[in-house]
Amino acid sequence: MEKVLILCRSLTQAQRSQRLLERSGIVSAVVKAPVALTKAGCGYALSLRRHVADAVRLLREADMLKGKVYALSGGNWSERNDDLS
Amino acid sequence: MIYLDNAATSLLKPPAVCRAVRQAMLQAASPGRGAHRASMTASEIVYRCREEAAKLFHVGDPSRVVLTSNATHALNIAIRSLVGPESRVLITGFEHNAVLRPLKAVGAEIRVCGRTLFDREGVLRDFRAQIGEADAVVCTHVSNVFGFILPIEEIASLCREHRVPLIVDASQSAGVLDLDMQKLGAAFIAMPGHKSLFGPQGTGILLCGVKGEPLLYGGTGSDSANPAMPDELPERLEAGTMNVPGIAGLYEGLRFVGDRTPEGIHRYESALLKTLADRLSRVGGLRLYTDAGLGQAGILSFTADGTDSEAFCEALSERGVFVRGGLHCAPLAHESAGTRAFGTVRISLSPFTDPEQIERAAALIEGLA
Repeated sequence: MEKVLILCRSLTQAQRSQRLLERSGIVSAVVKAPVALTKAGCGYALSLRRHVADAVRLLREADMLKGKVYALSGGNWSERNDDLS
Repeated sequence: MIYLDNAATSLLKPPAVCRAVRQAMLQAASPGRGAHRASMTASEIVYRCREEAAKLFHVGDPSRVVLTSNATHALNIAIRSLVGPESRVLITGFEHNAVLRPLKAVGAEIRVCGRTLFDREGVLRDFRAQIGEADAVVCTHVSNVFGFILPIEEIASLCREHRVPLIVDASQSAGVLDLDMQKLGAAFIAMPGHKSLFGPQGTGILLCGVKGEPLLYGGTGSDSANPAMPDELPERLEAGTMNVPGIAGLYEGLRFVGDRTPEGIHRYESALLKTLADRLSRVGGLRLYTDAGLGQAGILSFTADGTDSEAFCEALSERGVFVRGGLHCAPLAHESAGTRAFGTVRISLSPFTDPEQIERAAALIEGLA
C-alpha cells in the first residue's frame, strides 16, 4: 500500500477532517480526487501515507468519514472496507 | 479627516488587514478550483477565516460559517430559506431595509414589535404577545440609526420556547457585543465583514444553525456532475468564485477583534459615546437620541433645529468630519423614533476613534448648531 485516499464530500469537509487528524499528530494532505474515483466529479480527498487505520478510526468516531477509502498499490486504486491496519 | 461613519463602513483598519489583502492578491487563486499551490493557498485562507469566525461567535463547526458578499446577501439567504409568501414574521421597529425589502419581496406578513426607542421592555412585551402566532422572527441586534441594543438574548429565548426560527441581523453588533451562536440557538446570524469586523468591503458572514436554501446556483468546485447544488454547508450557499483577498483581510480583522475582545471594544466606544453625548447635550438647538450609553452601542444620532440632516452632514464634511445623514436605509427606525421627516445626523465610532477627535468634532458641531 503506497498511499491511501479518503474521499470527502467537499473541500471544506476535507479541510475540517485534516484539522481533526492534525490535532492527533496525523499528517495528511488535501488533494483533488481522481475523477474515476468520484461518482459526482471534482471531489476532494485526504491523502495519507502513514497512520491510516488511526485516521479512519478518528474520522469515523467524529462522524466525519463520509466517503469511500481507496488504497494505491502497484499503480492501481482499490476500495478498502477493512480496518487498514 | 475625522471619520465617524463606522456604522456604514469602518475606514481605518488594522494594518494587518491591508497586508493580507495585498498578499492574497499576489499569491492566492481560487479555493476549490484546483489542487495546485495557488489554489490550496486560497483554500487555506478561506478555511482559516471560517475557523476564526467559528471561534469568535461560538459556532463549533467551521463549515457552518458561510462567507457572503455582505450582510444584505447573508440576510437574503436566511430570509429566502425560512420565509415564504404569507409567512407571519415578527420584526422590531428598528429594522434596516436589508430585512424589510427581502421580507416584502417574498410576500411575508410583517408584524412590528416595539416602536419606542430604547424601550427594551416594550419590545419584549410585543414579542411575548405575538410569538405564538409567528412563523419566524427577524431581529436586528443593534439599530444602525440609534445604537439601540435590542434584547436579543430574551427574544432568542422566546423563540426557542415557542420553536420559532430566529434570524439575527448582527450588522452593528458583530465585533462589538457578545454574540454566541450556540447560546442564542438562532437559525441564522448575518453580519457584514466591513464594519466592526474590519474586513474589506465585499465581505460578509452567515452563521448557519440550519442548512438553508441557495440564493445563487452555480459552480462550487466539487460535486460537479450533480445538477443540483451540493447538500453540504458551506458550499451549498457559496456558488461562484469567492472574494479571497477580501476574506484574507477579514481573517485579520477577526483576529484583531478576538485580541481586543468585543467586550473591550464596546467598553472603549461606550466611554467615547458618553463623552460625546455629555458634550453635545450642552449645545443648544440639538436633540440627542441617547440612552445615557446604557443600552446603546457606539452610535449617536441627533437632529439640529431647523436644519436638514443632510445639509448638516455636508457642512461637517466641508470641515473634515465625515458622518452620515438622511434615513440610513432604515425608514422604519425613523418612523419609530419620529425622525422620518428630516432624518438624523449619525455619528458612529470605532476602536480607532480617539478622544481628541471626538472633542474636535463636538466643537465643530457646536459651531454649526
